[in-house]
Amino acid sequence: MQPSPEQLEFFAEDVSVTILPNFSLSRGQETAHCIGGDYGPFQPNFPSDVPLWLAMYLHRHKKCKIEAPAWMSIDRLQELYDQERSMAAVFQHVPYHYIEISRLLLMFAKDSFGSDFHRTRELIEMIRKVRFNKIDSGLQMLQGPMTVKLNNLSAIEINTIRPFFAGALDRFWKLAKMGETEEVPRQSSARVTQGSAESPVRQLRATVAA
Amino acid sequence: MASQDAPGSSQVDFANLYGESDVSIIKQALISEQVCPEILQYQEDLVQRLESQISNQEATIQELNKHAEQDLLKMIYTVEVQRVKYSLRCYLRARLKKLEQHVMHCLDDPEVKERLSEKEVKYAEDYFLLLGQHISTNVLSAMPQDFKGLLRQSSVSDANDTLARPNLDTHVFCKVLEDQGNVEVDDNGDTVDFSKDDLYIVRYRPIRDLVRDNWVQLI
Repeated sequence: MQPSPEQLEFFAEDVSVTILPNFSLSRGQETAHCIGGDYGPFQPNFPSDVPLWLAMYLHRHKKCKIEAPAWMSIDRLQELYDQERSMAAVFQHVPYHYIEISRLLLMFAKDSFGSDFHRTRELIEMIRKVRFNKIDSGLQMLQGPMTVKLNNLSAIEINTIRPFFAGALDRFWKLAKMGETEEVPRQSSARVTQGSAESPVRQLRATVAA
Repeated sequence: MASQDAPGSSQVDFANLYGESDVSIIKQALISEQVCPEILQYQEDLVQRLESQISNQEATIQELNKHAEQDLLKMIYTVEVQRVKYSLRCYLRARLKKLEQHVMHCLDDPEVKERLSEKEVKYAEDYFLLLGQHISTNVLSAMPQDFKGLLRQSSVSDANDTLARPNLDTHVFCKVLEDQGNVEVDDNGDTVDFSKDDLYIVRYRPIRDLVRDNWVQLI
């Protein structure tokens, strides 16, 4: 059992973002006292930090403008993308829920990005592909029972590889326990990873070269 | 260490994502329960605190109904209460699902039974009764005399050996919350350096105690 994609999005909605409200709550009650914390006070055009779910809710009712998070600026994303590409062995630090957050914001709060919207979406998509490419090549290294370090992997990335990765390691462990040689699992695992890696990896290289 | 080599304000700290409010704690409890092979200790205090907070907040919402100008605030509270309720429901459901999977194991092992809430024990007993009756009438009644046992494969088995037990050797993803130094991950004495914020995929059994004591978080 693992969190569903919908649940991951739900978890991601607890991330804090900055909004510019265009309303104020009534007098005597300027702050919202929620179970998860106090949010506000809200004054028109005074920035306020709220969780993403609240920002999305207010935005849907045209009550605020969401400021795009700093890491989602084009310069930062470009820098991140270059670093991600230049260092093949490590994953760059990204917000744990970067895919979910960017999806929600790019879908429902387009006005936060203005003219940068398309470029931002494109960069995030590129970063996502580079990272998945790395994961794929990482999976091909898998041979025999081991503990693997995966620093800076994000929630969706973990969820995506969990069934295969954990399953493969479970199998390796079981076979090692039985005292068998590792020949059989190694061959089959290499075949599977190469097969699954094929299309996205090739596509990516093609776009990069072009 | 890990936090130092990643400077800049673009970083969202895990502390922001998993802060200290009960809402964050139930979220982590839910994730742990979903990905952990065995059933974990029931968070009785946490569930109670959340339940009372929810009912307080619902009372506040009722109160706000009288003031039309507070509509927005009321809606904000309502949305949040729904979110908290959802987390709580998911947590309880995730536990029930695991309970059903290993119902005999949970009731058989006193140490595991300790981890369940009163209601969960009741649920498990009822469930086991139904399951047992079903298997007895439909399967075991047709078996030869020596193989009629629900808990033992045959009358010569010396222990309860039909019980499905969780496999603690499955691999889990985990995040290290505090420096742990070298942790033994293998029977051969192989160790791995667990530093703060590291993320590992590792066999569950060696890190079981670290998870229980909250040094390591399942993700």
